[in-house]
Amino acid sequence: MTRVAVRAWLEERLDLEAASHLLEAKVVPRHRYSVFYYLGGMALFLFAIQLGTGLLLLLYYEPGVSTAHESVKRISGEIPFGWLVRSIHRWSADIFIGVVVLHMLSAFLMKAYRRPRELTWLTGVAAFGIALGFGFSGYLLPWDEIAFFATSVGTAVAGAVPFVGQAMLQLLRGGDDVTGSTLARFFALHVVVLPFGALVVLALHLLQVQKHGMSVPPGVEESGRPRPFFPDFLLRDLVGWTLALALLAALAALLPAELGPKADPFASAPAGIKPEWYFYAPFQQLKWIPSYVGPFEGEAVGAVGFGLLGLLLALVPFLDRRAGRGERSPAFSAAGVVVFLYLVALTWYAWLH
Amino acid sequence: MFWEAEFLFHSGQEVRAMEVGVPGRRAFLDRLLGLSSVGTLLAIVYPVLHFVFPRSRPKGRARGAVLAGHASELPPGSGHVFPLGTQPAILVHTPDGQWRAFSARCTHLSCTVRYNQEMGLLHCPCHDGRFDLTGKNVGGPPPRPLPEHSVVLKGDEVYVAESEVG
Amino acid sequence: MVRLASLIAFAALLLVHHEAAAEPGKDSCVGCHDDPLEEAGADVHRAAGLSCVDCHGGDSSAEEPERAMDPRKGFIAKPKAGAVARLCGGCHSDIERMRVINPRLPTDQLAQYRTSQHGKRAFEGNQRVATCVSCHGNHGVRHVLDPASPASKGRIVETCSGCHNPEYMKGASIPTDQLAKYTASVHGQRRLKERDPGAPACSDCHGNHGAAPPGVYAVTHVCGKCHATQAELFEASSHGEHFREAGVPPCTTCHNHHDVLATSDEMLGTGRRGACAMCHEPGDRCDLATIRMRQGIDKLTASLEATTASLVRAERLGMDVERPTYDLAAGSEAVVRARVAIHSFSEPEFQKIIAEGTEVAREVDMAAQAKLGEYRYRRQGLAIASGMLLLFAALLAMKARQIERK
Repeated sequence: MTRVAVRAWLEERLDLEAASHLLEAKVVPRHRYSVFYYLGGMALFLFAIQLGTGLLLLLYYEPGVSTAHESVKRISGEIPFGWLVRSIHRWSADIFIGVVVLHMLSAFLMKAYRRPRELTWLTGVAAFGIALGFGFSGYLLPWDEIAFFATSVGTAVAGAVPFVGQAMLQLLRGGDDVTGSTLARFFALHVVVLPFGALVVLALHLLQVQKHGMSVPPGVEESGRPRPFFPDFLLRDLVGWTLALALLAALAALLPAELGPKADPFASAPAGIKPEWYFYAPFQQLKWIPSYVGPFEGEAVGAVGFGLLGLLLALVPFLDRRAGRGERSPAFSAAGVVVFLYLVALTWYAWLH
Repeated sequence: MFWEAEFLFHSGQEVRAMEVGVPGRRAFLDRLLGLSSVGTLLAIVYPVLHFVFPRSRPKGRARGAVLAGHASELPPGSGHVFPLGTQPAILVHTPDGQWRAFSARCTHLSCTVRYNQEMGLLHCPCHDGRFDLTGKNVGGPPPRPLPEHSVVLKGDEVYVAESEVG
Repeated sequence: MVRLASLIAFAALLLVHHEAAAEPGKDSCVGCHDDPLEEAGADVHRAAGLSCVDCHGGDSSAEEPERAMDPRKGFIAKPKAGAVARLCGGCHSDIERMRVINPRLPTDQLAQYRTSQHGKRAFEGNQRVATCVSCHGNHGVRHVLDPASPASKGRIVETCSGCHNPEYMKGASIPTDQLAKYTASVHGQRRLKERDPGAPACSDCHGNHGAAPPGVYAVTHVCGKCHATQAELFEASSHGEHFREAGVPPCTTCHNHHDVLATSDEMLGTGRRGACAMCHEPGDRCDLATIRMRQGIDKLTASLEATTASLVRAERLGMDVERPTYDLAAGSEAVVRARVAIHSFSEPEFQKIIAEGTEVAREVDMAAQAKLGEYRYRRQGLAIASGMLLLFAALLAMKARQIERK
């Protein structure tokens, strides 16, 4: 069968023409800041890497208190290239979250959230939350000492939220403490619930992007004709993706993922337990809040505070009135940058100590 | 996704063929690119295939248990020290025909205990510690009994579980 | 008038009588003395059905002190020294009686006590030495397995040093520093700090009822109860004979007795902490042997350390080092065995064990290097894969540029 015949067969059934027309029409504006457009695709690529390596790990990982740690050990030590798959999964998770943060920051500074792209921003914030959920739930799965205690501390913070805190803690832990029940539900979360949620949210996000096209920051001049997505921009995307893959392979081979001793719920927590780096900012902030702020518990204040911050993040399109009108709003950008730099400073501080 | 890209890419090329100069160099680049993409694909597929298709499992490693020895080589009233993970363990075929296994790390100062036929006990040579065939510390300095591991016989093969009993 | 007075007197007497009258079933003693057994809590004698008069004699039904505490009724107030032992021994040495009451108890305590330093002096009239009640208590006697008993494993050191301390034993002919030395010793640390009942305390070496310092040659038997291998090797060694001839006690000469401190390889030889220096000259035949032995063990411990470090590195890099770690344990065991073998005072024996350990360390080190080699193999694989990927990326970039130049 010739290529043309195959194409015609598919065309009759799938209406490929419409799709390829859309793709051929898709263009990417060119201006001073257009390099940041690569970040979205990079995040998507890294997410695909997570799906791929995650699926491979699923072939050998066995959830459960008596098998989780052992199966991860087997993957790292016995299964051919198991070390590679696991280390890539681990590194890609970190880099993925970093890229997502940068993608959000660039969208924020470029005001890509302004009308009519509010839903794109909202689904993006939801996707960020899902990404953090992936990170938090995945961290526990090897069931080693650090993972166990980091999860205890993390879920305890959730429990500090007033009114709903205890219910949230019970829901997350599957009981009062971190046990095999916690592992079971974190596994379900990581492998079924969050991927399903990510699918829905990402589909909406990408559909919105296709519908509205790429946004240009207000007041920025375009330098030349927009570049076609196919094949120009995609080729460039591919270059970045290939380099990212090379980086992941290098990190996996030179700095492989470690596995600490198996979690022992009866042992005391080792000194200096810290969560993953993307939770350093709230972690450090909580350390600095006094145990009582007025009549309220410090932990509750911290938890609610960060919750509010998340809410503000989601509401950015509705808070930035001037951008909504198509005007420049440098004050709003500056405010956002200040908050971002503060979070970076918190993260940096926590990393050093 | 990749073959689609190549597919559409080639069709796009047909349109631009007339616009780009030096067809020889373009064809050379395309050829190199084609080879390189095959090479990259192989570099990805090779480890994935080896990962997905399991090698035959090294013998003696049933789920959570280790092959400790063969019943035909251990008559009643004998013991055999073997590795269980990173620690020594001892498999005992008691005089009355039972199979038992214990951690062989003496609970006093971690020397390896041995089965002593004369005494009918597990004996630690470092400070004369003694354990009976239920693991209980019955003589000398050891302060605690030896942890026990369950034993499973599969034909002539004797397996000992990695997890402790109780 | 007289009749009224005598009536009143009679009534008064009745009243007094009523208060002082013993309750049915209880000794009259408690009427005046607060019940010391009640205050003490548990007491094995009371639980066995004994009462005040079973030890103290007298008449328990009588209310007046003169009749109740009548020496003619066998009353003993506070027995002195040797009399205590005879009193307790009156029952506890009576085999027929004790078999009925508690067949598990020994009945040789009095006989042993008579041979002990405490017993000898007590029967000479010394009021300050230990008697039965000094260690077991008088009222509130508990079984020695009961942790509250002063004679229990957890409290015996406290009990013995209740007398054997510099204040009480001032001017005595024996040392008074036992507790200080013992607390600093490895046995003391294990028993007192870590509460390990397996570690020896006073009575484990000195005996309890027949307490006496072990005779010079009994020391090996005492220490050898736990340290059997060392004792056996020593007895059979050249030094065993020399020590016997010279009348020098084994074990304690190099290791002390109350202050048995942690051993170290430095004790071997005539160096600063060398135990051999007590009899040997630096440079003599034996000293040269110990120098070689020191070298052997130092080299072995160093290579074991290096191999362990390699294994740790390999593990951190994600390799499975389970089997080599297990195998290396045989090397650490060789070090322990070598140190025990020092007591055979035979250099060939010692070096044989060192050679075994060195072989283990060498083999495991090879395995560790192989694991690290695996890591290097990965790096080579990485170099190839990276090269491939970077080439691909470069070609893609060139293609992208080419397409742009339309």
